[in-house]
Amino acid sequence: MRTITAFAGLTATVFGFAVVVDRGLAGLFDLNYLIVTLVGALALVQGVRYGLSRRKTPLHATTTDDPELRYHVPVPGDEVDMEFASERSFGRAQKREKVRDRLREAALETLVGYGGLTREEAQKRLNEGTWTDDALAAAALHESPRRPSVVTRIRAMFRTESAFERSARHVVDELVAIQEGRR
Amino acid sequence: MSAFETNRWTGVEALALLAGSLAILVSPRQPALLLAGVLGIAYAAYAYGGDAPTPSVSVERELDDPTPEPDETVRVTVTVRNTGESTLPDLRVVDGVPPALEVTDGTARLGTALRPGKRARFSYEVRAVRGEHEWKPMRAIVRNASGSNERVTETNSETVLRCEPRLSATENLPLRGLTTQYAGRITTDVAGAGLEFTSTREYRRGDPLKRVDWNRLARTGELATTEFREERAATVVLLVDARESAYLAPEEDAPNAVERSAEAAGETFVALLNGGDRVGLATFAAESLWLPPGTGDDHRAQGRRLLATHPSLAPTPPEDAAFFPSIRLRRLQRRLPADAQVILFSPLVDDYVVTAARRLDAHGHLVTVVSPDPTADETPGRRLAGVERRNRMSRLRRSGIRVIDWREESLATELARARERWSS
Repeated sequence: MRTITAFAGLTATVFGFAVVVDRGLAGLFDLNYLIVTLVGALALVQGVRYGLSRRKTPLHATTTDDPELRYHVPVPGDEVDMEFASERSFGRAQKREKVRDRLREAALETLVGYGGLTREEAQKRLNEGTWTDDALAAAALHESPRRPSVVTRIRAMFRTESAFERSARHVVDELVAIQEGRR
Repeated sequence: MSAFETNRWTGVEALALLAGSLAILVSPRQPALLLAGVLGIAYAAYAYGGDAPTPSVSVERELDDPTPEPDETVRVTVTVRNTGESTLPDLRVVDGVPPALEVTDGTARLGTALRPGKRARFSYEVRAVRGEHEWKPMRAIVRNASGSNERVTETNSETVLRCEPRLSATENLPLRGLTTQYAGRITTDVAGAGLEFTSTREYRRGDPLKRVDWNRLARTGELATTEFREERAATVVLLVDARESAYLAPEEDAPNAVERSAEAAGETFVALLNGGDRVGLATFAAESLWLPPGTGDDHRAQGRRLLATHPSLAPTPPEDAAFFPSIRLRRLQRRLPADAQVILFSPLVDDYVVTAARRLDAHGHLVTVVSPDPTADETPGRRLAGVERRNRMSRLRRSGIRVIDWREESLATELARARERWSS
């Protein structure tokens, strides 16, 4: 298609120059209504085509960053939040497992350091879910948590927060409370 | 760099074609509209008229004070000159402000047109922070008159801002009981001359007369010598954790943990030197810093300069540098004098520093940790990082290492609080 239009355009241009050299050639076409309207219609189509091409063409410009702002360093713990947030991402199960391991390790250490337990005792309490009164937090670090009741599950459907995120938040809040001596 | 199209004028031909076609198709025919189409052709010709000129610009920066104190504002005046042959109809420059500096007034960019040999000037203010800050190249973006074609280039002239804080001594950091044989300010358990009374013992020939217990002689007729706790000086190495992972801050605009550590190390350095101790410097960072323990004015000046401008303590993390944890720790252990104690400045955000501190402590270099707190508590993840950090501190304390949790207050306040806790 492209070659055909290019060929037609080239022929027309060559013919145009030929007319400049030999005026007699112009007599081949009668400047009647039909021909002129045809040229007008062609111009309209081309005009619309060019106009529309603007919509598809991306604008290029060099982007500059902001040298005026100070270099920003990360806040500790933000890498975990990304994992909390990326709900339906690839490899979600492994990510959650990693966060869960981290929470468990933090809980173990907190119970040892602030609760005065040995590591074995702390482990036992975590496995039995007796380390806290918060059922949700206890279930989150349980080895084989009980299936939540129907009411709980229906309730969870109306929350914006995912079940995993919610239980992780509860665990962290419990740990902070233990460290601050509120439990 | 080669020029590229910006596509700013794409579709401008439509103006000529549509005007022309309407002139023909609308009945009766409109010759005036056909003329208007000529305008479109003129625009199309303008849009594609020529490439962006190759820019040849030079830059000159002038700082009103190249060696300011921290937190002072410095005015930077930038002069851009067109050193090429061609006029630059549309020139935009963005200056390469060092990442650690913040522009507080004005903006570090300029848009102008420059004829050959002419120059343009703009200025902005930055707030100085500790360190040696080198300007990055300035970017110059040039377009042709219609803006349809663009070119980018970089140009630079060396500009450095050096900010060395005048170190002021902090509240004396309570040191631990590992000392040298020289007199100093740390009260030891060694009996001898000093201020704090410990015991009396039988007089031996050669004991100084002023330490003879005359009351006892009067009472019982026995000669006895009073003994005091000896006060000795220590050898201390200030170790700053400046690994890439230590560059953390609780908020965007807050100073990061390495900056706070370096500041605290500076204050401690002066305080300990004033107290007569021998002080050295070291860092855990890709680029290593080692200043052997020493005393004296030269040592003080050298330490001050290193703390201010050594690349391993820069306010922004290094770009590409590898850190080999175990090699670095072993090298540090080899360098540490046997009687040196260590004060470690670290945000304690991973287990490596905890292990390193415990190992140094176990090798007899008694360790004290000063930990600037970089954690925040807005989200569960941030709170978890805080929980883990407190766990690390508790682990250190359980192995007998002193830890100072340094939050928002000044270091002096935290030290006073710590001293109270440790003496009780």
